[in-house]
Amino acid sequence: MNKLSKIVILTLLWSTACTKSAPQAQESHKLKVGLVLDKGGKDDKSFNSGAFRGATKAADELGIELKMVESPDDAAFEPALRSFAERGYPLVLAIGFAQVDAVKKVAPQFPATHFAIVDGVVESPNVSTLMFAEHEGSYLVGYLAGLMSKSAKVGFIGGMDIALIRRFEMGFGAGVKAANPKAEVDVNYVGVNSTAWVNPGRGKELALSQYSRGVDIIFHAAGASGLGVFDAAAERQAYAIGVDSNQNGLKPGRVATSMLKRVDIAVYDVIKEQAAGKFTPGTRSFGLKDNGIDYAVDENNEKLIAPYKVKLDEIRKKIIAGEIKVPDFYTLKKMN
Amino acid sequence: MPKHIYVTIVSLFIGLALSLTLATILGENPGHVFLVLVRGAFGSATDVGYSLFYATPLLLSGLSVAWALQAGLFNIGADGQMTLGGVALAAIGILAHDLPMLVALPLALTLAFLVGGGWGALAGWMKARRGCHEVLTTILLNFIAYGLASFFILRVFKNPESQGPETAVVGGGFQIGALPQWIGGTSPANWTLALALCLIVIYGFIMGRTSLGYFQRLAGEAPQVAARAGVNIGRQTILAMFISGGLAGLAAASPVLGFAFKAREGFTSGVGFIGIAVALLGRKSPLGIVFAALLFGALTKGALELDMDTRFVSRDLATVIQALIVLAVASQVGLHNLWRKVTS
Amino acid sequence: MSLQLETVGLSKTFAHCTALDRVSFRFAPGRIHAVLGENGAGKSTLMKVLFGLYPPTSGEIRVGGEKFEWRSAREAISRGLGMVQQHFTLLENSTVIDNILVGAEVCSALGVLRRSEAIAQLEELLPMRHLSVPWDALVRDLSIGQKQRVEILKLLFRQAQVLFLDEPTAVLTPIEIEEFFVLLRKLRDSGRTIILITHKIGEVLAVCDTYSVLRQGRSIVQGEVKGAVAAEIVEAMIGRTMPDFAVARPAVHGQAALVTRELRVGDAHAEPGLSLHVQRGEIVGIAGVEGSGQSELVDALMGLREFHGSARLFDEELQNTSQVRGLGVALVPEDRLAQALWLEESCYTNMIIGLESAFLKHNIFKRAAIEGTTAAWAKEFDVRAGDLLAPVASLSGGNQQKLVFAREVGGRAPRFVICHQPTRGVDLGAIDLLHRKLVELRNQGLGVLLLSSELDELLKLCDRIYVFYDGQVSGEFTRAQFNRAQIGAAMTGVAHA
Repeated sequence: MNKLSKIVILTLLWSTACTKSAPQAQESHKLKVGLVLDKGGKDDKSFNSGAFRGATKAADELGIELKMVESPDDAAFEPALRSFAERGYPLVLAIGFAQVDAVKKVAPQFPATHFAIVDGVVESPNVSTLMFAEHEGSYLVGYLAGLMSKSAKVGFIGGMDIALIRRFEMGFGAGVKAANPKAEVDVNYVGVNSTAWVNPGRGKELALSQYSRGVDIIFHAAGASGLGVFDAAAERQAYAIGVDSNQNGLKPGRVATSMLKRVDIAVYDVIKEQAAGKFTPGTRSFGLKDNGIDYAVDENNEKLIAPYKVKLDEIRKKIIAGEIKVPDFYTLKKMN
Repeated sequence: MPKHIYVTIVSLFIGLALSLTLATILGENPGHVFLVLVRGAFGSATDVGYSLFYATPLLLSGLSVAWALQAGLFNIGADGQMTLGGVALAAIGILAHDLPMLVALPLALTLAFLVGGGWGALAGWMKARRGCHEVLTTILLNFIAYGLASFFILRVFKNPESQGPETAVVGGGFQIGALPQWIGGTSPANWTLALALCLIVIYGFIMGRTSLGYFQRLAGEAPQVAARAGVNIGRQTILAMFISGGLAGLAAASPVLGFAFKAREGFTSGVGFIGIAVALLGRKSPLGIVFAALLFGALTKGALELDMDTRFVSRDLATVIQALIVLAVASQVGLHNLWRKVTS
Repeated sequence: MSLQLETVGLSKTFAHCTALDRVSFRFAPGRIHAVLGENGAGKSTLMKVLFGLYPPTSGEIRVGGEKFEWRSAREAISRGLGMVQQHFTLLENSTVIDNILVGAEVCSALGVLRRSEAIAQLEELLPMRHLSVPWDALVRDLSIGQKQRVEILKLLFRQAQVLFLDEPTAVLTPIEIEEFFVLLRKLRDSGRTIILITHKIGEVLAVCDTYSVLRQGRSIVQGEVKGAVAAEIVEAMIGRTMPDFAVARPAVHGQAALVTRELRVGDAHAEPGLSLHVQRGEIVGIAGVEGSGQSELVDALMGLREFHGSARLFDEELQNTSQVRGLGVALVPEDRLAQALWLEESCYTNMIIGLESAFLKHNIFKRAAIEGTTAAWAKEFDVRAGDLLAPVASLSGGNQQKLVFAREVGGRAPRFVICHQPTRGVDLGAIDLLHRKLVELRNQGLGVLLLSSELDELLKLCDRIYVFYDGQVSGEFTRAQFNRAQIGAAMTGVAHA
């Protein structure tokens, strides 16, 4: 017992001794922003990466102090949001629809704290909801696919079969038909549960099967499973279209373009507004008009889509102007 | 003090010290990291509540694994049993939406026990009748359980109002209330904790004083002796896996009925597997399980703050600490010998 | 090089007990020394201290007159000591030569094993035909006697001059024991020091030159075997004179208790199988080398394994364990630690295994009743445990076995008793008690089936003996026909006239 207590005491002493020598954290008067990412984490090369990029940019340019937390599971959103609020962070960002419940619960308990949530609607006087017009961008890349397809067969591969991805699918299909009324759209989903986002093997399998049926260009909205779609495109010398972030460089020459969902811009904007004292609660939608939704052009696909660029920009203007009504799964299905 | 408690506590400190050393190497101040962990876990009533909230399912999954261990069985399938138990809880909560609590909760908990237990008993039956090793079958049954759970969550009881993979919300009578504020603050810690503690007391009594526990342990610790005394080992095996699975099924009560009020896909967060560590660290004893579950719960909560209050380490440090503690306990024979050399 | 080994006032204390208390022995080279003592007398500890596995608490060890402090077994080996454990430490799936070379490889400069060179060295080293074993055979295919020779060869190849042999004859048949003794004498004549750890007086008288007796950790006596009297040695070992074993065995005319017809278990027993019978009031022995089908027979009778043919006890066909137990069968199984005792539990608990229902009320154990009743049984069977709450694992072998008897015989009030190797690893005092109990049971009209590899035990107790060889009955002897040589021959498969 004697020796045991010695060990205990030594461990504690060592810990506390080190504490005393610790430099005192500097009190800063910078704007503090807390960022709670979804389960994918900041390195998912897509959605969460975008949010992190936007927040980092804000930190660099606006001189705010950023703290980021990755959540291991659903039960950790709530304490993470709460911890930020308790520490007096004036703005807390929740990324992903999985955090809707947590924000609904925590936001009313901290009325002085501002929350922003991406992809899910929370109605509360201190919550700003950031939505994206995914259907608009999908329509645009669908139009491109319709123009590019020589076989008049295009494919769509979704990740998990949920309303959000149906929204992509519906916009994409409308775009394809607008460009080429005779074109067919082949649709597959990777799965019905959350593993559908992280199954590139299955993504590739579905893509190969679509290509075998004559499809020559596929748009994916399948998270990491989409990486398999790019592999299949390279293997079959066919085309694919990326999603969320710029994925043109993943298989240069085989990726026609990427539909960009600029979570980074949305996040940056919210932080900027907060910094300027202009935080506005309520739902805000980012779309083609404010570049929240876009399609990617870079050195990897410049030449490839050059012949279609003029037409695409024309379509984009028409959508922004409201001349083209893109069907929205959300409003059609009366969801959210 | 018995030798093994001694060794466990030493292992604990070794695990902690190694992890803090790791944090030091990464550029953190170990004292600071330690304080963040402690403050995060116990800093306020809400923090304590969260620690208890995380500990609650661990108490039951640890108990589940411990029960099987008493009978000489290694139940790796607690996570799958818990998953199905949770689906059962959500299902009854949706189907019998309007039952009053006095009927609803006993009904739901019994059902979860039976479903989790049935899943466990399946592995027990395969072992008793076909000789399939339970480690293998329980691992494989986990995958089937996850698949079944997905089916029920997404196809049968899907929440039409959410994009997430989750069921609809259970009826009010099925929702287990939060603990009073002075214990759990505004955390989701709920009365399942009391249920878990009661079950652990009962477990201690059953194992120590009753024929049920006696025959389970006899069949587990001295199977050849039991067989020669006329004990039906196969029946004991099935029974053990049934009860173990049932307890794992109850572990779903806190996340499903006490927190989300619905079954989300993957709601176990691996609690069934951490239960193995809890049972081993607690050495199957009631107090040991309580201690280990509270420790792991507190670590989980404390570690969430690491992301916010440290620069170079993340909450994954908690996983490292847990792993190092378990490793230290597992290697305690070696440690004990080292200890003897140092002290002799 | 011949070494004299000496201990001077050697003591070894563990946390709570003194295992060796100022032991002073001298082992001269070129002789065979017996180290005698009951279980728990300190023989094993002495060997471990001599062999460097435990540091002594005080006293010293001298090798060739020079004080020596062992720090490890490796050092002991390098100084010419070697030990053959009771349980062999051979790699079953490797060849004999590889087993011998492990850890002492003969290699070329490039590290390639040179087996033929090693074999040449071995054969040069040992001009003894008795030791020859097929070098390329797999160890698992060897007989037990051969395996023991491989163990000894391992030591000789490492230049061992002092050989410790821990109960080496326990696993051998009478014929193998004779061969083994010849080998020991050869080794002695080559100048080596042989130290034989044993509790069998017969062996000491047959092959040893000196005997050293340990009792309760003390060296009691060391003397020359020539001229010594067996009874004196036994007295030195157990600290009192052993009464003669003369128990009246009146003829008891009972009906049939156990009858088996053409019983066969798996492939342990060949056609036509075992047809045995045991009357009430009769002790029937099964002699034979271990592994001749005894364990399978017991398992079949206990309902633990399926079998062909029939087995009837009191005119009822045996089906499963609980039915067999219900018929009043007591079992003293072969492997006490694995099959009879719940090692983690207390002596109390161990005494109610199989008898639980008597101590339950509403499925909860009545502690007071358990403690009261079992304490009485323990007393009746002379179970010496300081505290019956202590784990049964802490008891000596003899007391453990008495506890098993107390449970099976005292607690059960049986009608039929199966005893398998009841006196293995049990001290002489306990053996005497158990033997008396068995004869008492016989005299009360119980049927007793006694399986043992100790021929002396069977000859002493049985009314009739079946001999097993290779899963078959190779001979049957009534008490009037008992003849050590003929039974020994039957054990090796030679049919008797």
